[in-house]
Amino acid sequence: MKKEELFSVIGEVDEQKVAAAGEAIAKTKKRRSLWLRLGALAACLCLVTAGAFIIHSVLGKTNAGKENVIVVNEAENFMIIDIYAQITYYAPDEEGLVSKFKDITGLNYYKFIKKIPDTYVLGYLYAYDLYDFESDNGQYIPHDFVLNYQHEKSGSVRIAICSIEAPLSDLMYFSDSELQPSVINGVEVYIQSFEHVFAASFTYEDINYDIETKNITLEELENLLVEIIS
Amino acid sequence: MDDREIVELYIERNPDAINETASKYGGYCTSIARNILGSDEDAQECVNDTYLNTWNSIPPNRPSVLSTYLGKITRNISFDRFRRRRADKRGGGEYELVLDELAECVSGADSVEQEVERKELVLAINSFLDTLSQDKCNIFLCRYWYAFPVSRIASSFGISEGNVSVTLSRIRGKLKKYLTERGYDI
Repeated sequence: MKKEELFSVIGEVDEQKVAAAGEAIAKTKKRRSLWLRLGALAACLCLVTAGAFIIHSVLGKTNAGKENVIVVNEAENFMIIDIYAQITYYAPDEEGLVSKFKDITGLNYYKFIKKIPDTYVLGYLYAYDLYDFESDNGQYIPHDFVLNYQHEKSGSVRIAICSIEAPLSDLMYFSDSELQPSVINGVEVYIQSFEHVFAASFTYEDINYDIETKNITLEELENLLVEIIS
Repeated sequence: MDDREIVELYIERNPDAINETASKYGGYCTSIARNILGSDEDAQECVNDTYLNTWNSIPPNRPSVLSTYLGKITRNISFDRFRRRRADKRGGGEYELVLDELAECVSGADSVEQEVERKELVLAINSFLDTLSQDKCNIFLCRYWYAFPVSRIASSFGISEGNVSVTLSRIRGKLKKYLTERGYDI
């Protein structure tokens, strides 16, 4: 086969994969631009309006004698928020990763990743350092550590951890109604859904977590939360 | 304007479809054409051809992912132009002209057998991509579908150029093995 033919055949591959790659390079480019907008300067773009607010309540499994209750809040809208942050990428075995993880989250890196089920493959990681607008000389404050996992099927999971406040997210889901909490191993977790995405926020042992999943079932999300909150 | 509305403009034969496409996806298409051709002028001509081709193909087509539909057209047109330009540089102008003239006598379509083989190969490459992590799949397609420079991929994915090159080299090796094991002679 000639190389031109292979190039041509690659042009016919699954368009969803092609679109995902296009979004990835556009998205990472935006993040690598580093200096975007935050807080009062934030420019929010309302993208989609979905259906009405619905609560699903599911009685979950019993874990350590505690009954898990899963409540999914269906988001009516989401916003994309651009963030002023400096990003440092890490490979899973890169030098400095363990200490940076500890600095930001207060957690032991190896103990944490051991909690994640084997069905997830760790991909790239990064740390967000926030620009400190209060300082005169361009200081950055370590803020979040983000781990990106790929599910063995086709889904993905993004776990953002912050020890000082809620982690940053460039996506914000919202609805007009008050969010109802789920309870996982006795911890309140706010789960929102939008199309094929679940977003779960909670605080466990004084550490704040945001988990965003794509193409993961509710049961898989629950299992993941049970492992992290233990 | 969302993609569905733009496609509806094409279906209604409303010329605003092209303006809306240019406004939303002009940069995206230009980027693909420039990646392949390395020339802004040629890229712009290919993008204009993309709009014309899109106008002529919707309807009957109704793309579900407009960006990829446009990207695929841009990629094909740019690649054709690249091949012609390369042939001209080789001094093969007459040869190319002769081939072009003869092309009018043939359908230009692959035989049914070739078409089936090609579709099977596309399926095999899709299955291969499914074996890669999302990041590696994205890096592979950014390079071999979008033809982004290694430096751009490196800066966008936050890894070194060497890392991108090594990753691509390993994926190419795996692809070759994957296809060879399945009986493809590549």
